[in-house]
Amino acid sequence: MDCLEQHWLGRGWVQASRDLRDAIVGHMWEIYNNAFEHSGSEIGVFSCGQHFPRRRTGETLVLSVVDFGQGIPATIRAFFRRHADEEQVAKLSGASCLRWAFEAGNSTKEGELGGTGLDLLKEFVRRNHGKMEVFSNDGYAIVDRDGDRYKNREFSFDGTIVHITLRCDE
Amino acid sequence: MVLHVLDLIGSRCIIKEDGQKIYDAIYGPLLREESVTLDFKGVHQFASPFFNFAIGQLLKDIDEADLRRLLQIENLNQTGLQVVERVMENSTKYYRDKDYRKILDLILERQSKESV
Repeated sequence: MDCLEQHWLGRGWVQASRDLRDAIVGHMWEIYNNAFEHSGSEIGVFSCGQHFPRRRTGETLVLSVVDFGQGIPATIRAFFRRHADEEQVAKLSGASCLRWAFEAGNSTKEGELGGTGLDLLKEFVRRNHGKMEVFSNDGYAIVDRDGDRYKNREFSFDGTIVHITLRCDE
Repeated sequence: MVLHVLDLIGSRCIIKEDGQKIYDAIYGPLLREESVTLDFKGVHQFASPFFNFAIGQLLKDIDEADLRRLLQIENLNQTGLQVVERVMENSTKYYRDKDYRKILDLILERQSKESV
């Protein structure tokens, strides 16, 4: 987070207010924390970003976080397998799993409070008039000013990509 | 009791381990029905893992109404306030029993309506 705060947001070429910079750091930690705690990735978490100072829609910051762990739908299916019949769990689509993950209070962590991070992120992205896309296993989610949509994809990959576009002038 | 969070944790309250430090300091006094004030002056960055552990898990043993009466929070910025409120809402729901079979049925019901 120091790298994000000091070498990206604090360099002076991202014209975001102090409050927005602090909010970005906090909300980006929600993404990293989810990746570290849930993904089971053996090779860690990868992150990159790009600053667009003069887009038609305004100055934007794009940040991506990728892990090659089990993926959100796979984690959720494994969780429900512990509580319900396999026949029912097998019907769960990637889109349904992502929708469930984004709802406030839902978490696969047992014995530990959770289920707030993605919901807070959703709210932050909407207030910022930005966009967030999540690709995980066979599911896809997009959150923007029009709301959130969840879709199934024809191919699946083991892992999760969170791709977030933030407006620096909001 | 007044706890200055900046002194104990620093200006960034995001990880669960730091939240646990706050919980460990305030749990006993709150259980004894003493008032506790958390002063967040100088703290600028917040995330839910911190508040899940600092405050959310208090609701396992302390009723929400009692917690809101005994625990005062000062100098928390807008982002921090939003995170705390969301954590409080979720924590109250978390400690209720959940019927996961029923939850799964509801998810599948919605899924089948959307695929029609």
